[in-house]
Amino acid sequence: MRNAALWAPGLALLAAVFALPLAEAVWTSLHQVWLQRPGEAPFVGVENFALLLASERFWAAVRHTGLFAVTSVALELTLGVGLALVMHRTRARGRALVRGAALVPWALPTVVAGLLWAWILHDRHGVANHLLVSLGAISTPLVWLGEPALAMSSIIGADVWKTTPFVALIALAGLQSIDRGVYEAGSLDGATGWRAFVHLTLPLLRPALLVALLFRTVDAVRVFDLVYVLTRGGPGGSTETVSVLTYMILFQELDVGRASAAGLLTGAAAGAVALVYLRVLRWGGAS
Amino acid sequence: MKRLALPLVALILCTAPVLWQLRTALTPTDELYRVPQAWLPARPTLDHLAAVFATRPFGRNLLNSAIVATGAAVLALALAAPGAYAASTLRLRGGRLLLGAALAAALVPPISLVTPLFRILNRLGGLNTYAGLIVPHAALAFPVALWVLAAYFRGLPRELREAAEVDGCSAAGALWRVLLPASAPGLATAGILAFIASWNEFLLALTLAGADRVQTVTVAIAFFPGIEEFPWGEIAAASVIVTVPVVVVVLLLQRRIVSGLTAGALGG
Repeated sequence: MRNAALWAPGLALLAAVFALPLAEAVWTSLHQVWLQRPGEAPFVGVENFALLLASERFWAAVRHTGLFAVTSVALELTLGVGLALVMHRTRARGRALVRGAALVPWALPTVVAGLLWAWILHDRHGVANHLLVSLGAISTPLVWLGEPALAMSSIIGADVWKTTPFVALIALAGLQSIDRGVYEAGSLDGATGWRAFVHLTLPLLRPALLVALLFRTVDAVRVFDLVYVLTRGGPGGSTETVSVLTYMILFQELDVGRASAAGLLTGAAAGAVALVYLRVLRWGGAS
Repeated sequence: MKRLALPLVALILCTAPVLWQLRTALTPTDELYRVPQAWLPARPTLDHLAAVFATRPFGRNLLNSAIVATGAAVLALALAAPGAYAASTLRLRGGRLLLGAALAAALVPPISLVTPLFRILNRLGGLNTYAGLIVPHAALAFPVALWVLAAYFRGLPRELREAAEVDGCSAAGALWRVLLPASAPGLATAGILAFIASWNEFLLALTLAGADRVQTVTVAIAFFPGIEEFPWGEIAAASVIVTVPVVVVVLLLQRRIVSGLTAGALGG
């Protein structure tokens, strides 16, 4: 191959960090491997997968992950498009200001964002309870991270705060690439305001939004940092996602084989989501 | 005034939680636990900022993060620049293969890699070493770097490359002597995005490099909370220290970062 020296090193890096470990994971998932006994590894077939698929804890983690992914991505997409429209309509200097502010949550390490919200949502000393009580929205302080439904809502809220701006920036780039002539032509046909948004803006934004949706959904399916920092999967396992469960199987139960199987199932789920989106994208591109 | 209401709300929603953390970092502990809390500290203090460095190896954590993130960004750029050149300007088959592999890699959940990478690095003696974290971080940052650079190279004038060929440069020579010098802004964007991705990464840093001497800032902060007490002032102080440099860079270069993000997200 001509000039292979240009692309082969990059391919080697991806092979070393992605392909090789995934192959290793397939092997360990078919064996019984314990972290504290590295020497022994009897072949057990698909037993690790069977154990996972038969466990209530695994399906609970799948449900939590699904709930988190669907809710957070839907909110981020809706609010992101809204924020993009706000930025798009604001004049030059104001737009730069809002865009700069929108980059702040994105630039924060997720761990830092998680701890920031843990403090704001603190049941006794948090500013969220203080504000809500003094505004009369709630009568007594809520234990945000101590009750299942509230804890999941808190995690979703923190994720929406952190990643809506990212969706907004992508949507804004999409908005800016729409030719103004489209709206002028549309207004002749009576498409103004809400009708113009539904019939002109949204269809033209579709490619950009689908790409944002693809990356956000895959990210949501593999959520780890926020859950780890905010609840460690609690209370009572009610916010445990598949990534957190995999981590626990590896470092608490020390079961390498089953952790590999869980990691592969998570990867398969992310891959399936991506395939669906890519198919829709390609179909959208062809039409 | 009405036109300004929504942008103002957006501005406050994005920044207020971070400003609250800054306020917490400057508030003495006894005031933090007073109910109700005051909006601003009555006696502002730098105690938490000092305690972070005096009672914890946080300086070392910062150094570790800087070393890992710099290493990861440099390695990602060194491999992504020629790759992007092969994929965009030269349109080599191998280059297109690399673009496809990068897309597939970007979709792999890091949790799927944790268990096998832990085992592989354990065998190679690479756990709790800089290299053992730099290489995976570089690979995680590689796809976006590749897309950003490919998009940038595509935007360069065709004459640039043709001039290099007339001068009798090899492909590598044209990249090194003509394309790269003209691509400083693209390289800076890709490098900063890779640096931030590594600086902010938690899962692999936690599992592959948890030991004190290589521990990065995100892992250190996550372990600030003890069994009994949560040192909220110190957590806020450390968060501010970790966040300020990144936010300053991002705000200074916001135009480039936004175009890089969009290029990255839209697959170049």
